[in-house]
Amino acid sequence: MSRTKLLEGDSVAVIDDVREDAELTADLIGEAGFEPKIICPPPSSIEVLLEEIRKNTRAVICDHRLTGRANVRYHGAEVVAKSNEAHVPAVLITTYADVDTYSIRLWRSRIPRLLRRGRHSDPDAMTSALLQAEKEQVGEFEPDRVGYRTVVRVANVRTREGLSVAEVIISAWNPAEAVEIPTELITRDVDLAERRLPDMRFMAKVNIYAESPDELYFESFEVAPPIPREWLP
Amino acid sequence: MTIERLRFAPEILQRLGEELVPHPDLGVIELVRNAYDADAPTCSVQLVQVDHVGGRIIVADDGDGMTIDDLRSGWLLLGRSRKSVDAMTPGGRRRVGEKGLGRLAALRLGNRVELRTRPRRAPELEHVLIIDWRNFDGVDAVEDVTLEIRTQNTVKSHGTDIVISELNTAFSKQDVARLARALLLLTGPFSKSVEGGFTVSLDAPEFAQLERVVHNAYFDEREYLLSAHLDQDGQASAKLVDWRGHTVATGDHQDIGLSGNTKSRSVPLAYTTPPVDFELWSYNLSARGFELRDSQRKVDDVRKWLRAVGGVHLYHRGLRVHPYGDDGHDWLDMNLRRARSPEVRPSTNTSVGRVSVNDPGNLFVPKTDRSGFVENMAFVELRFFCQNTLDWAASERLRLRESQRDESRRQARQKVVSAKEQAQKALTTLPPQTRKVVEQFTESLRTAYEERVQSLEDEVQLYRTLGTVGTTTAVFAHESARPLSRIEQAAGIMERKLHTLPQESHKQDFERQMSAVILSAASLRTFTDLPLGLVSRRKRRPAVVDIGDVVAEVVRLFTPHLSALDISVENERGGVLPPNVRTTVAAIESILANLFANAAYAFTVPTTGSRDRRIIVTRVITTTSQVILSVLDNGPGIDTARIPLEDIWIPGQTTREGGTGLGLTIVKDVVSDLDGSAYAKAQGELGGAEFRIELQRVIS
Repeated sequence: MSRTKLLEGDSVAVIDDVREDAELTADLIGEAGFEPKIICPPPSSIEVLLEEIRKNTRAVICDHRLTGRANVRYHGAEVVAKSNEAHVPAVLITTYADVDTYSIRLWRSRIPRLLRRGRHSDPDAMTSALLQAEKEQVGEFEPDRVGYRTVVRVANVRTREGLSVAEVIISAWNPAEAVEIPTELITRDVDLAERRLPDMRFMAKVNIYAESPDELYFESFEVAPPIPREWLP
Repeated sequence: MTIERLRFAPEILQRLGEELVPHPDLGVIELVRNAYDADAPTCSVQLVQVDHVGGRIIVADDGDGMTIDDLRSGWLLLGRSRKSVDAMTPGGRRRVGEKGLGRLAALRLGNRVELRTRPRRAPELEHVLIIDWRNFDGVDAVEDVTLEIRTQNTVKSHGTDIVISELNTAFSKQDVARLARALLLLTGPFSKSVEGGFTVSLDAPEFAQLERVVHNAYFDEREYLLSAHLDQDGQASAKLVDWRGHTVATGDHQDIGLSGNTKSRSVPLAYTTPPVDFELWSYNLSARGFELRDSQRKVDDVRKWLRAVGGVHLYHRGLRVHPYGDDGHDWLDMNLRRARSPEVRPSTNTSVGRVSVNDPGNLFVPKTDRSGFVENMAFVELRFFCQNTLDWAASERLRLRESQRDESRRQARQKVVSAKEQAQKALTTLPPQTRKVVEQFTESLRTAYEERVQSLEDEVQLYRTLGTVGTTTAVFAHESARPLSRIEQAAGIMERKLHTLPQESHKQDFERQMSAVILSAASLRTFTDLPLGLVSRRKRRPAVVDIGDVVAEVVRLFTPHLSALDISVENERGGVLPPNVRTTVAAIESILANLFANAAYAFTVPTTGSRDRRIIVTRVITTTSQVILSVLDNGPGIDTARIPLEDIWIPGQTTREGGTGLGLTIVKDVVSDLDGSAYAKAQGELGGAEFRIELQRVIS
């Protein structure tokens, strides 16, 4: 049976495709009092990687872009989400949080904290992120991570960089701002063609107290009940 | 046992009638649709003193009329659709009328309704029915009021006349104009809208005026005609024909399906909607376009016509369905698509279109309030097909334009060569003395022309170079983010380790160096964040933008750079209304970034004046209709001895060594795109330059 509390000296997997970055992160993890275990380059199969994590480490810190120098078919966001699902607390670290929004969003609900590489990713920030990941596993969420069932309206569907993306409005979060999410997030739950999505309303679980659009996550989509006819103009 | 029946209070008439149908004209249109279902070739609507309460509306047709049985089981029975049981009229038209709720709304416009109907099947007979709505006021249930149908002899031909009198409300000029437009567009300016013909007239000056405009069709003035068809298997095809009548592009199901939103995704196997015809006439409303086609018509007339009929209208069984194509009902998002990529896309002001659907399977379900169709799968697929077709046409036109541009460049070069040769030939025919003079003139003309061409080519080159600088900067900023993060992380580790060193003197030595590394890394971070922030996708999306928020963000991005020059920024706000403007964040950032860059440079110019502090003030003032954004500084101001104030906006004009002279041109262009105004003062309120940008505020 696994322990419930992450302790000093516990081994933390540091996953990166760039050796220099892995070593720097390992130094920070070491400073935080954990035992870093570098996995660089990561194996080409995510299953092999997850198996290694499960067997040998108590927590994970993983870079998002793993394809720069490694021949892998997955992103760090997927590793972190699946590791958390497997009850090994994991957090994501990246330099490109503002750029890789779609590939991160696909897994955002199971990424408790996203660390931005740089001066602010210090040992304290890493420890706090890992502890939060651990807490989420026992159902303790920070207010900005609690998901509520709410209405999500698709305003438009368009192609961005070859990926189908839906512009959605979440009135409970901010009625004046459209947020772009991969349409896959909707279509993997609801059996609908992408072209039918514009102007449709869905119910989904969304962390509506998130501060920025990048922190929003979406899961469990279902078609919302139709608006009563008498409400229509 | 007691037998009971459901009964309806008279108020239900109000609920189902006037409250359900938003505009009176929709009700009148419904009566006209009934005339269509009665196989009438013509229908006339007469408005008598409707500009005040108590007026009259008369709707008369020469259709089949109604028997007593028709009246009982049709006209007087509200809520039942005949379409599903009896889809075709005896005359072969597909029925368009629905359930009678729109009719009820029209009949309730006045206190009294008189119906006279003469059935074709019973010549020389006329049935008369009078409804006085006041009789319903004092009863408990609708059924308590009995209605009497009187039958009398007549010499009049078959048809139906309905007189709605003692109108409850007056029709405003706008109401009449809307009704006139709705009636005129019901069959539209297009040819062959309804097989066998169906003519509607309205006895009102507004109608006659508009009719003249609408029926002056300018279809032959179009630049392009897009015709698309969706067959009964849901397979699309389209062609694009230019003003000469030449087919310039054809597309099959694959081409159309690949266009638009699902580019690079799969093509729909079939569009699941009934067969559709979509035609769009798009216009080039420039004087040059008309000259090119040698048109004898006036651009203004075409513009006026498009204002009356423009937009894409939806015709269901030959009759137009409100509100598709009306002002504010751009159901194919043409204007939005044009705003996103303005090149070669028509807007609702520069095109007129018709989507015709016959709908034999009754898949299109009208909304109860008669404002269009319920957005079910058939409707969504119809819209999707039309939007894909528009996207296909736009990409074909873009391709055409590019090849035309290449061709015209090639022709221009050839023209210059042949013009020179002709000039040389012409010169040789002149007498020697005259030739010398003319040669001198042509030579100086040629030199001036070449200088002009050279300066334009330099400008193009400058724009291209700047464009390349921009894209390259973005790429390098992106790539440098990672090593920069590494420096920051490593510096952080070293800084923390420093504190564990035993000797205080070593600690102090390293701390100074470490602090320099950390500060420099922070500066570099600004230089990578700034270009990446400016090219962010989200910022290029049109939205209602709070100018104050953008100012705060740009100030935040520029602060490390400005602090390094000892410049402080003060933000001032005036007015209580939100400073909202419809634009993109990127557009406002372009304005501010260029003004800040200029102000920062101005402080570095050697000057005799002395100042205690270097200040830039940003000021956002909101009035009811405007947002005024000012950027002022206490630098040396604009040196008008070196550049006249009015020239600062001209591309290439600069007093800055190595400057491009494009910053303020960009500011002016952005402001002009937003229908705003830009002003500059050489010496403003703080002594330095002052720029004032006036933008239109979003009211709600």
